Amino acid sequence: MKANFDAIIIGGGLIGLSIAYGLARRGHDCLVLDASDTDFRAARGNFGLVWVQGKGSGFPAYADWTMRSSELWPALKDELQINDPKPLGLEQNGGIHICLSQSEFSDRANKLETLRSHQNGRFSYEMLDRADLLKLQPGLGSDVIGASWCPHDGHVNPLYLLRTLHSSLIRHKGTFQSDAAVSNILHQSGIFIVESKQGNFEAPCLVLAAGLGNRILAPMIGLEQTVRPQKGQILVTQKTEKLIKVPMTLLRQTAEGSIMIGDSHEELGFDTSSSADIMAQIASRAKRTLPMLEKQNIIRSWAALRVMSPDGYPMYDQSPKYPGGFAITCHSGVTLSAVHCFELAADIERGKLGVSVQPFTERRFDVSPS
Amino acid sequence: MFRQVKKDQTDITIYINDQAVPAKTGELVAAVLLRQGIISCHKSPKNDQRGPYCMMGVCFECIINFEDGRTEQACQVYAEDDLHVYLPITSA
Amino acid sequence: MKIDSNYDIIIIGSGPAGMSAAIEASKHKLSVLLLDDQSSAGGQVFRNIAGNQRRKSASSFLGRDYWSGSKLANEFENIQIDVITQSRVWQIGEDKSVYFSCKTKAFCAQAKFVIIATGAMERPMPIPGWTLPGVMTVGAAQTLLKNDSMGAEDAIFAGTGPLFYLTIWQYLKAGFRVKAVIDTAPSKLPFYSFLWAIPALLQIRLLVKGFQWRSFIQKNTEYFKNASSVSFKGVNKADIIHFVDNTGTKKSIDGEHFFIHQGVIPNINLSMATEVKHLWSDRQKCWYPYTDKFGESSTRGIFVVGDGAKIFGVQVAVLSGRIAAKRIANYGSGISMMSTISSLVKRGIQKSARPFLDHVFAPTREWLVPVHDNVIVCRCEALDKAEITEAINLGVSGPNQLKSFSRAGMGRCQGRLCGLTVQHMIAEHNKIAEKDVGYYRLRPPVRPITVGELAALTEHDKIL
Repeated sequence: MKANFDAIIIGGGLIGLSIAYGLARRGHDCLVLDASDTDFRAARGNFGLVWVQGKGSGFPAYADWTMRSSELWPALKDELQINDPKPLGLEQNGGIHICLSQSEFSDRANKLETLRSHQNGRFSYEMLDRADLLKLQPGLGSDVIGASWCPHDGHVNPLYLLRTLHSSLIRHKGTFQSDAAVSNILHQSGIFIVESKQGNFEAPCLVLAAGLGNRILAPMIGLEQTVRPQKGQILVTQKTEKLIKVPMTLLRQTAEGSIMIGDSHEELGFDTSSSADIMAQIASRAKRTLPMLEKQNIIRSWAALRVMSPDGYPMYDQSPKYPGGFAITCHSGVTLSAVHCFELAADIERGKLGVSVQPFTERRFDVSPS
Repeated sequence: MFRQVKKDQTDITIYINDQAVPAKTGELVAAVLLRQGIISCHKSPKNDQRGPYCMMGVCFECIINFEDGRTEQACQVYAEDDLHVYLPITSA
Repeated sequence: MKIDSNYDIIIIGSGPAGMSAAIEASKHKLSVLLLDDQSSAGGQVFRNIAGNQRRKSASSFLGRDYWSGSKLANEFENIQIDVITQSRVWQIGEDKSVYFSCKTKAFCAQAKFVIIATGAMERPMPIPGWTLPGVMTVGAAQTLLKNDSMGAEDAIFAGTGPLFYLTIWQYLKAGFRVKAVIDTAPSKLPFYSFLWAIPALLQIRLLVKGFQWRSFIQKNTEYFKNASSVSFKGVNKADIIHFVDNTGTKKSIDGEHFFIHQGVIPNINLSMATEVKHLWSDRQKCWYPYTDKFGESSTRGIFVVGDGAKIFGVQVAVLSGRIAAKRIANYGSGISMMSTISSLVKRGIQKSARPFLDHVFAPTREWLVPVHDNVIVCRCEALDKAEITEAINLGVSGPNQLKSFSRAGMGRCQGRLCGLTVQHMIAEHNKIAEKDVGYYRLRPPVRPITVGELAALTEHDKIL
């Protein structure tokens, strides 16, 4: 196997593959180094939402970046489906965020109104009361007061997204190397030398997209990415007739018919076990939202670790010490896949992060001298 | 065709798709189906017919529905008088 | 709903190992809760033994080995422990809390020790037509005979192994016509199998019995030895079996009910979801939980006994259950385990025939990995060999990546019927040893549980 590439991307999850494919489709010879089958792999734990509403209410650049990705998603889907017929099932017909109390409803309304005002009206949404909501989604439980509806929201099959990015990369002459955990990164005369379990590889451009692994790898290229694991659990039901008409933040039905139920936010370190108490809470909230789910069999559970930055927003950095070196982290790998593929990859090709993503530098956490 | 070792050992009635069928208390519903010549319960995601295979709760092919919306494996349900079960393959 | 008890032991499964453990535990006055998913004790091998005892004369066809379980079953009936039948265990927590579902309600019971005795299951047999209605396992035939006193007239059996011969023998004794027996045990055994025959001689009665069954079957059915390339065909149901006989001639037989068998493997879904360490047996081509000589797994306080720990059959299961319960009774107390030594020795003798049986009845490769592209590998998601191969060819690091690319293993059965097949295919493609491929990451719920049942666990202020 050859050792020299135009770009090496460490991490074969949604971020790594989106960027790698993004570079490969621009004609670059890319190598993706992926870890082992049982590593943490946040990309396998994704819910599958392509979601805009509520994002970036404290960080306008993130709201813009998310909206941009949602606009680019149809183009990504069309392109990927040319390479691999596995149906992505992209639907962008709107989504809802359920509110189970009056105070939740008012808080939500305030949050989204603030967001809209920061975005010069680019983001649209509507607060739906129970009566209007039932027209969209019948069968909601009596605890449901209303919801916020956003026309930009949607969902996709996250595992097929991973697969079609993978196969598209291969189609564009990219190289994917499994079981290639990286132990060290060196730099010499403008070239990054990556030492991995499958051998040493070299390239002038290096992208760290290893999720939680970025914490250890980033310092090797003069960067810092203080990411921590945040556990989320999901339940999955058997396949059933279409009960869920519109995707919700915590409930969606896949094209095959199974219903995905989320979620949790647990700060338990690197624990990926499924726990009965959390699973019960997740099931309870789902039952309150849609009582007709009561008799549905749960056939699978899932737990994965979100890659969390200190403020929950992405971290995009380029190495000042080693130009061509980048570290990319976020926990919305599905939603941002389109903008990573089309725009972030273009920035990386240029060697410089663009204006849209400059606010996501890790240096925003630096405490300024008073 | 499936048959009992000793014939006519039935003492209760269950209903498969609302059709009355003789059964024995404590018999597995999957056994009752097989005795009626019913070897298909549901269809796979690619529309092939599937029915009882392992009789021990491992294969999940002997799927039956109940009126209240529950789905069960027929080999894990014991026949009781007046039990009503429905086959997904016919209600699809 | 939480059961407010802290048991000394919760035993999962009431087969020979579970019953034996319960009996021994009660002798030491330990508090025991036994959970079994069927309506009465017995597991698979002694299924419905109490029910059959009530009409023993009508069930004599079940044979001496089955009835040898009476003594154990009767002893079990007479001990004072808590038993909940028709209960399905779906999770074991780190702190030995056991979650189970019974009559559409979910419960949680707490214990100091857990003994998993959930037994074995048939290994996956991905041959052409295995998913057609009408094709069932020999284990299914057993259950129908034992629980429902039922059998198929003019059935055709294809496969090999002790359970295969036993079932056909029982069918004939019960008065069913058996249309044909297609025995797939290969004629050529690896030379070293015969080395194992020497310790197997300690179990001479077992070997003699095996030969007796085989000759009875050969006399009473149309019997084809050393057969291969078995497949089923039909539209919406299997109506013909094709195979190649010992002379290399293609043969076909019409039929309605077919039973296949290539041996059993530990049913490891509960033990794997409990995250105890598992090891790969190259001889038995299966995963099994690591246990010490007392049956304790890599997690303190969790024991696995019987065929669910490793396939050694009934006698070993009974001894293992007893050894585990005794160990628990004496746990950390420093009391001499001298009395256990005789059980350990007895068990060693019982185990002696196993390697020979494993070699003689090893499934041939075509039963482990499909030859043809259109054979279903993952039944639940209806994925055939071609689709799995396509996903593997994308470059997968293991079964979990394959699962995410193809959906194999994501169905209701949680990989019970495709996990090993997929593992063999990845080993072949990636050119690595089977034990290095790994297996699907299994998680609770190990049995399906409804949203409502799970939600109800929160409606009790003593939730964990």
